[in-house]
Formats: sequence, structure tokens, C-alpha cells
Amino acid sequence: MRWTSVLLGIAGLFVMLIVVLLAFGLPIQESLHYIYEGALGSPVAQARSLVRAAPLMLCAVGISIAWRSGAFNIGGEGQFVAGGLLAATSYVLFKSLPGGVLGPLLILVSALGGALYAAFAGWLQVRRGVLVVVSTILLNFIALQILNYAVSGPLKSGPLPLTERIPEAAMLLKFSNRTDFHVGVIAAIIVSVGMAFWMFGTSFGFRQRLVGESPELARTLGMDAGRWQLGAMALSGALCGLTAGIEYTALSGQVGVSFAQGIGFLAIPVALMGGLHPAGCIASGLVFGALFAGTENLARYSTGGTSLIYIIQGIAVLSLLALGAVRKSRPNVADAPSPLTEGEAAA
Amino acid sequence: MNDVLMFALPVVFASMGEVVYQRSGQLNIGLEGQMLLAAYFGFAVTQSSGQPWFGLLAGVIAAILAMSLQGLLVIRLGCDAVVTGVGVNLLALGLTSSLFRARMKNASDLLTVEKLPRWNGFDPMTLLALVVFAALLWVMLRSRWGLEVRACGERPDAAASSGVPVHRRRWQASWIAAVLAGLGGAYLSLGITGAFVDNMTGGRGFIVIALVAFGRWNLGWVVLGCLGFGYASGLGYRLQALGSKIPHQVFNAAPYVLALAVLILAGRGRGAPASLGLPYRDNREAV
Repeated sequence: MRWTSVLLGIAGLFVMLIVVLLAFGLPIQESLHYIYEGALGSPVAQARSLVRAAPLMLCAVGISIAWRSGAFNIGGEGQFVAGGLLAATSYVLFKSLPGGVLGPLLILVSALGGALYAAFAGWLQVRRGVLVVVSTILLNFIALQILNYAVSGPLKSGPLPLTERIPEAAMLLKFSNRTDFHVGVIAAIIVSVGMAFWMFGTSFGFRQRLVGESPELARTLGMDAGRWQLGAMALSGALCGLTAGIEYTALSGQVGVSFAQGIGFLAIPVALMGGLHPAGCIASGLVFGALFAGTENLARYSTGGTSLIYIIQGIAVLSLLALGAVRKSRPNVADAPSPLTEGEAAA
Repeated sequence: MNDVLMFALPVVFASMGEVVYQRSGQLNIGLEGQMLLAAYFGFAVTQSSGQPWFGLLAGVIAAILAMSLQGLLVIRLGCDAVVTGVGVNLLALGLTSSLFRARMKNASDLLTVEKLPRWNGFDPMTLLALVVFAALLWVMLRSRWGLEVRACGERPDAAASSGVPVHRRRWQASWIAAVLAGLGGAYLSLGITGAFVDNMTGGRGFIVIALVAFGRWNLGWVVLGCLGFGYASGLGYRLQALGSKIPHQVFNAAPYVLALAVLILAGRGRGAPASLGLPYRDNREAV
């Protein structure tokens, strides 16, 4: 059952891709060829797809944790930037450390930066009643401006608005000189699996989900709903920051204005299409990582570019929602009503 | 003064619509996308036709179409308003960026289009905003329709049991919000810059949501807040032009910091419509 829906989803995305290409008057066969070549056509392309997929899935897992707790974190981008920025700053402070210590330190600091930035938004919702969905988007813009200032001011090194490149010894291990495939990709999958265990195998994860699913029940059980939501936000931000740390120490080695590349935004639909479940996020992360690598290649030869992905994601999210709603409204489906919808009916 | 109005008008239009929309019990996370679509289609149609008024109309129509999609999901199907809004925003960002890229492949095309005309330096859109403001003030506070819309936002079940068609009122509030989001979005490209750039709304849709909470869902206060926003933006540009020592990123970040500060100060939404953002299921559909 699970596998059929995954296959149906991929088929649906493929149809959407063709419709979008048609709508933009791009030659179908040629465009698909370029996308295929860029995504899967060679070992180099396959490696690139995986490298693109890793940050998407990791951020998506982070976003899933927050959304499941009822905090609609759309600040993945800002948390990513906050993490990278804190890591780049601590590099300046600790650059004398040996590479083997420095690399992991930068990754940890990055996760901390993301966690703090997300926790601030969580605190605003829990204690001041400012919706996370609004505050995180404002914080995204603020983080981007701080980044812009930092890399063209205090952290700038050299003529371009870029921070100093970290030494090779502090970079994450790469398996071959020909591709960018790095150990962080494997780490991303391991962390995602670990988060699946956290969410569905521990009482902490259960409580975080319970708070989102049924705040009333959580309160009846004597839980401080706000505190659990805050914790979920911090964990969510930590994962987005961790993603930034991996991108920083594995690929770029330095931070610039376009450090985030929209990963935090793209990860939201990846999470939604993954059913807000880490396993689903791994699958949809892989699909969109490939699509990302493919459309990047397409952009080299035509007017179609990576912005096509946003369209496909937008359509996919909306049709998934509509499908879910239609299925729920059909009475003969044996789905038990979720506590969430019951709570809303009572309110 | 002209500066203040120019920077304020997009948010003034959009926020007046958002007040009506939220008063009907709905939260428009897709506002950013509706404004962005309006900004793009306003620009594109003006470029093709040479008529900024046609562009304005096209922008409004684009926003209405986006709102129809959103309403279909949120009102008709009862989908989550936040997730739907996020989807609409993604779709709008992808569509406008891709279409813009496809349109601009001919390098010979002019990047700027004719802006909306002014009458001896006076912006007719200001007049339109005033008229809309007065009309909405009367409609929301004095007319039966306005009372019914507000009832839909406070207690939709109670409104329904006294014969108010909740879904129809929410749709009507959506149309008003869409038209105004369209005017505001199109004014960005046609009133201020005469050009389009990717993601040119830059979070204004969310700033509007913040301003509506700041103004306590009260048209007058909300518009006043928008004028303050316009003043701050204009001041930023003026200081930058004067060669101030303050880094320009401070001015770029100021509106978002301001919006966030406003939300923190406003605190828990006292005065918010009681059923804001909750889906309403019609009795015919329930059970």
C-alpha cells in the first residue's frame, strides 16, 4: 500500500513535470533528456543528485518535527543561514584548532545556531502568541540581511563578499575527486533514520506529536504544551542548522550571500510530500534532489530553470491537500477521524 | 509625503482586504503569492499592451484566480489554511520567476514599462484607496453584510443557525481581499518601480498580516500602521541616498524587524476574530 502511493506520487510528479514543460513551450523530449542527463545520466550526475538530496531531506525532517508539534515552521531558510553564520563566525575565533576538531565543531555550532534561531520563534509563539508561520518568515528576511551584512563587512575576506575558506583538513571526507559525493550525505540519511526513531519510538517524540495532534488532551494529561512545542522548534532548527553545517564543511567551505540557495524553502514541500515522516522525507528528498540536479542542467541549455521546481512543488502540495480532503469527506473510508479534526469540530 | 504614500499604498490596499478576510474568520497565508502574481501580470500585460491600466486589471484578475484556488481548498474542501497558503506562495513564486525568465529571453525587450499615470503629481491610486477605505468602513461597521461577515469570524456556528450563509460570506470576503491584494501587488510593479524582479513582494504579504494584528483588526488603525510602514521605508531610502554611514542592510531589515516588534508588542491576539483560521463545515456536509 505504502509503495503504491510512493509510485503513484512519482508518476504524478512526472506528469506535472511534462505539463509544466508543455506550458512553458519547452521541447519535451529535449528537456527531459537534459533533466535525465543532469540527474541520473552518469555517475557524476547521480552523485550530484544525492548531494542535492541530502540537505533537502535533512531540512525536511526538521520541518516535519516542528509541523507535527503544531508549530508551522517555515523558517528553515533563516535557521539554515543562522547556523552557517554562527559557524563562519566561530571559524574566525577557533581557526587555530586542528582540522579534525575544527570540522565537527563547526557542524555542531551550526546546529546550535539554527536551534537558537528557531527556539526564538517558538518562544514568541508560546509566550507572546506570535504565530510561528508569520514570525519565521520575518526572521528569514532578517537572517538574510544579517548574512548579507556579515559577509560583506566583518567576516569578509578577499575582494568578494565571501568569508574565509576553511582549510582542507577541516572539510568533510569526499570519496572521489571526480564527484562531490561526501560523507555528509550518508550522515544525513543516518540522522533522518534516527529522527524517525525519535519521533515514533521515544516518549519525547510521542509527546511532541501529541501536542500538535491534540493540545487539549496534552493539557489534560498535565503536559506543558508550550514547552514541548518550543522543544520541537529547537530540534527542528537544529536540524536545519546541521544541514547548513554539512553544506558548509562539505561543499562550499565558505559562506556567501547565496549560501542558503533556497534549501529551507524547498524543504517545506519536500516534508509535506513526505507525509511529515522521516522515511517519506528521505524518499521525496531523493526525488527532488534529482529534479534539482536535472533542472540545473536544463537551465544551462534553455530558458527553463530551477524555478520550475517551485511550480511543480506548489501544484503537488495543493493537489495532495485536495486529494486528502476529498478522501476524508468520502464516508465509506475506514479511516478513524484523527483527534485533530475532532478537536476542531468541538471548538 | 508622496514617498510615504508610494511605499505605503501596496500594503494599504492589501491590508484593507486582509482585515475583511480575517474578520470573516480566515487567515490568508497565500497573500504574498497573490500580490506577487499581481505584480508580475501587471508588469507583463503592461509590457505587451503598453497600457498600465490594463496591467492593473490583469494583476487584479491574477490575484482573484489565485484566491479562487485557495478558497476552493480552504472553504470548499476544508483544507488547512496555512498549508494551502504555503502551496499558493510556492506556486506563485515558481510561476512568476519562470514566466519572467521565459519572457526576458529576448534581450531587446525593455526591462521597464510605463508606470500608472499621475495627475499633476497626484496619484489617482491614492484617491482609490481613500474611496475603498471609506466604503469598507461603512460596509463593515454599518451594513448588515458586514455584521454577518464579522459573525462568521467570531462564531460561525451561531451565525449559521441564525441563517447566515457562512461559506458564501467567506467567499465574498475572499473576493474583496483578492481584488485589494491584486491592486496592492500590481502597484508594486506599476506604481513604484515600473519593472519586475523575482520575488519582488519581498515578504510584504506577511508584513501585512503583522500590520493587521498590530491594528487590532480595526481598519483605521491598520491603515495608520501601513502609513507608518511607508514612512519608515521612505526614510530608509532617503537616508541611503544621503550617503548615511549606517549599512544599507539595516534599512533592508528594518521593515521585518519592525513587523516582528509590532507583533511581539501586540502580544496575544486580543481583539482577534475568535474563529480566525479555523475551518467551518457546513451542516449539510457534517455527519
